[in-house]
Amino acid sequence: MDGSMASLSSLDTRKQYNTIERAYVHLKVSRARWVPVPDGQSPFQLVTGSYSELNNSLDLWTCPRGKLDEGAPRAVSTVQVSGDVTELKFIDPQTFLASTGKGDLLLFKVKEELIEQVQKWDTSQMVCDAHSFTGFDVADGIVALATTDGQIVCFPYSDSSNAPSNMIPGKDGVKAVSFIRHNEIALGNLRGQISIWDLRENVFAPAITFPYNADSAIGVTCLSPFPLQKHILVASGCDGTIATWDLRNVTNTQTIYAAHSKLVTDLRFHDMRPGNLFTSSFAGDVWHWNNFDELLGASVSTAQSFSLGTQKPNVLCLLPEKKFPVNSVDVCGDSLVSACDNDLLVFINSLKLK
Amino acid sequence: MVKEYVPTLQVPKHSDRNVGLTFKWAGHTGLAVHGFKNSRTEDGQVSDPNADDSVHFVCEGTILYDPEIRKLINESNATFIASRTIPRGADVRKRILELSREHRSSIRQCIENMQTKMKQKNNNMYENWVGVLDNIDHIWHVCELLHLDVIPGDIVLSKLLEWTRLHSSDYDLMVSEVITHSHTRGADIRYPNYWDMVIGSLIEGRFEACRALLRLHSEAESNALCEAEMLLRTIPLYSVYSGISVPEFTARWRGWKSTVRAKIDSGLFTSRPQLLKVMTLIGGEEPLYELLKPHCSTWYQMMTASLLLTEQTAKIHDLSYHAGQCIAHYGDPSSLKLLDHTLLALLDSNISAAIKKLQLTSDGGWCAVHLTNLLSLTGILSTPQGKGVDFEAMVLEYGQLLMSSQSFWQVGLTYLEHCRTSGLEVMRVSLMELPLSSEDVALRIVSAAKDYGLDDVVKSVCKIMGHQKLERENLAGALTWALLSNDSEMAGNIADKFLRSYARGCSEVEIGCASVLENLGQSTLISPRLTFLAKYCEFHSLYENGGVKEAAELLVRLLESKVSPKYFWLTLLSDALPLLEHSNPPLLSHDDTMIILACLEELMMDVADNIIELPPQFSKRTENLRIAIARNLATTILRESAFLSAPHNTIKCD
Repeated sequence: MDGSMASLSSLDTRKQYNTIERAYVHLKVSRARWVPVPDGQSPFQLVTGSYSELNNSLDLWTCPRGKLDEGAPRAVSTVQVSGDVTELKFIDPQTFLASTGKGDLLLFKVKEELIEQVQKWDTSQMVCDAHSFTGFDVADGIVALATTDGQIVCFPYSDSSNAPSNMIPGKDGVKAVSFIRHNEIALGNLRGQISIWDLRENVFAPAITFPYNADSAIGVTCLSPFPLQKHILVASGCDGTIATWDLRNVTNTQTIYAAHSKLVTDLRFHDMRPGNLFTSSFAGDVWHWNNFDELLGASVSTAQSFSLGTQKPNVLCLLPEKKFPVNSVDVCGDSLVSACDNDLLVFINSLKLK
Repeated sequence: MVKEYVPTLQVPKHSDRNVGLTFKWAGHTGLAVHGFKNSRTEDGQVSDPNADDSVHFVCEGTILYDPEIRKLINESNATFIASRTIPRGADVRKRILELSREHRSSIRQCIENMQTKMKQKNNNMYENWVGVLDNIDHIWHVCELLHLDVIPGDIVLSKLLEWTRLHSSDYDLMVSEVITHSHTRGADIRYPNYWDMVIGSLIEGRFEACRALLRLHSEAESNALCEAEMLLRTIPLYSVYSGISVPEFTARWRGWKSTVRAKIDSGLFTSRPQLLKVMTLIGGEEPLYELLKPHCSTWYQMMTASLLLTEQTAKIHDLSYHAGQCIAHYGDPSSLKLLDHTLLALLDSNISAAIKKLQLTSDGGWCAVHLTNLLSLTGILSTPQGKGVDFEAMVLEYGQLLMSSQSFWQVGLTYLEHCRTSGLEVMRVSLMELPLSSEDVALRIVSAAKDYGLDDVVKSVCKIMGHQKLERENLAGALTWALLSNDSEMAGNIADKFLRSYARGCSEVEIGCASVLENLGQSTLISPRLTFLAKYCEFHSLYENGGVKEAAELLVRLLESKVSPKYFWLTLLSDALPLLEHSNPPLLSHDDTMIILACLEELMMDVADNIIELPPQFSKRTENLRIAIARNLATTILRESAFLSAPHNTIKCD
């Protein structure tokens, strides 16, 4: 046992980090997500959702396991959907939700090499204008679904009764939606207004509102609480910046990181090691921030010394800028998958996680 | 002539009275065709000319929607981009060659994928494509060897051999199987096409294989076979790097040939006609086309074989002569296909002709664009050989084709950016034509347009998105798009809409846009009307949150500056009413009240002159205002005069 450990560690010193593989598919992929695997294993299946195609679809791909050069991932199962896939998220290792630009919210199960539709909600019952969904977020069994016109509906996805548990009426587009805690959601729009809504209170007015950028209207593209400290909100903007706030005191705690050169398309923390943040942008680059916890002061005792911006961000550019936007980024274990606008899936294996 | 490659389509007839066709462009790649007919029937009756009329849409068999071709398009695009960004100081020629190989490997990969798919689905859906791509690969390879690569001393034989070996693998597999699996003699008995294999290897210049085969002959020990093997072992092969000059080589070559012929003349091979044929082939001074023909499936294979056996030092400009010699043995020149014509042009170093032929390939211009791109990088297009090639027009056309698709428009842009003369114009038009199917797509188009400095596209896309939102009565959404493009006119119009709707229903407690305009920072400054609206919202929020004094001040400034539209004045004045009624202490000074009064007078005049529409309950509201103004004036005059006279009271005269 000891011997094998030693050989492993000696292997480790020679280990090649961030190896890149590319695979052209035949679709414009808006979202690519790994099918989750238990910690310590490498993911080998992924689900993609397409957009801007004559016939849009959700596809399950299997990557050849083991050797790196065993060829491109293989499409093993396809389900046609109406409209662009706007969001796709796994809620457990076998189940994922997908929303479309034509107003469908769908629940699927992955069974080995097959994807099967389990449920399709009749959303016209839930929202007044269910013609298009911009995205959704899931937490503790509740889905928060955003329509193009800015309505938000929250309902438990295990319940098929079509009864929304909460509604935020809107007449204003929502670009980003994210749960902060199970009873709090954050919304962001393209005018750069962020609002936090407490679902326990009346939902006719937000609990807090604040600008993404106080000087001018910079659209918000993604929102996410920092997984270790839910009171810290992380957001990305149309100008390529990443910003953080302490929601307990939003006015004095904003930090803005001038990051990408164009609109940030996806923002994703590593599930197991949340100090690692991955971001992608319209400029075609993918970044790995490997000390985000330190930036937020999370490694220090949080209660007494919360100090933003004392550390310098440690960023590794995994993919350089190119002509085509990167639409999504997802990480599982030490493998990353990103989807680019020229029908390209880029896999980065052996990420150097902290 | 390449007449047969003009596709002919039959427009379906609905009646036999069709007398002609009219057609018009429908999009970039299609035609709308209408077969018109004689409106008189045979018995002279005029029939309804509109009855049974149909318009047929004819689309070019497009390359854009097939999953396998899509991969090829995107892969080659990556190679194209790489070719256009070769770093300075790099070995350009070497890099071009690498990229050419990249392209060819994409083609091979594509063919393989298609074949796998056909096997899986057990059909021949890709048969045409495989044929087309195979030809392209063929042409590409010879072009790469002759025109992209550097040929030392212009001696082309080794290149041609490389080419034919790759594309005429008739015997290769079999030969290597025979050689590796047979360890005993008698191959000539076991394999009925043994001699075909021998000659096949010989004419491809695989002398080792040829000798190995001879050694496997059942009578390999015989004198004739030993001699033959011996002669093949000593065959002189020309190489630029061997240090032997061409005349020296020719002398050796002649010497060796005469040895072969001496052996033939001695009757050594007479009893073995097949071996004699081999020996005659290698011993001949002149090419023996009749002997070669049964072993060469194409004229270019024959050309390579004859050069190998008779003229190893042939240079690139000799090729068209040799090609002509060989073609004559393959029938009428009119039976030549597009592939032959293209290859001929390449062998003739007539690059422009070759490219013109390539453009006729039914691949949507894919091959012509990418191969010409590499050729243009070598600089050959500016030489007489490449004269008359309008590379930019080709790129423009291909780019335009890609731009017509929702899946490829971004790829199309990367081609159009290399068209200096009209690329930007085409980009502008094509980007505007893209359907704005979602907010996300619109954002992408805006971002791409910004990259190329097409501000008018940005503006127009945002305008369209804004109008879509307005149609859905989503003023907030519309404002978002106005802000995204800094469109002050549109922002002003939207602000106007907000104000009008509020002015009309003045009883509403809250103006609907407060949350929309919150926290916009300097962005509200893009339009004066929007600035006013934001200030007005600020007034409301001050008033509601108890900052009455500040609210009053702001309101007066808004009235004084006259930035507000006339139709909104009454609303502003009505807002002043509760402030005027604040009497202890008064919120509005005498001067402030005079400003309000002046505004009211101006408004009354305008209403009287019919400059603005009569607002509801106008007289009642103005009356109330007048009373409040009068009262406030009374109070403030007293207070302010008292305040002003106060210093006088403190000075006492003795």
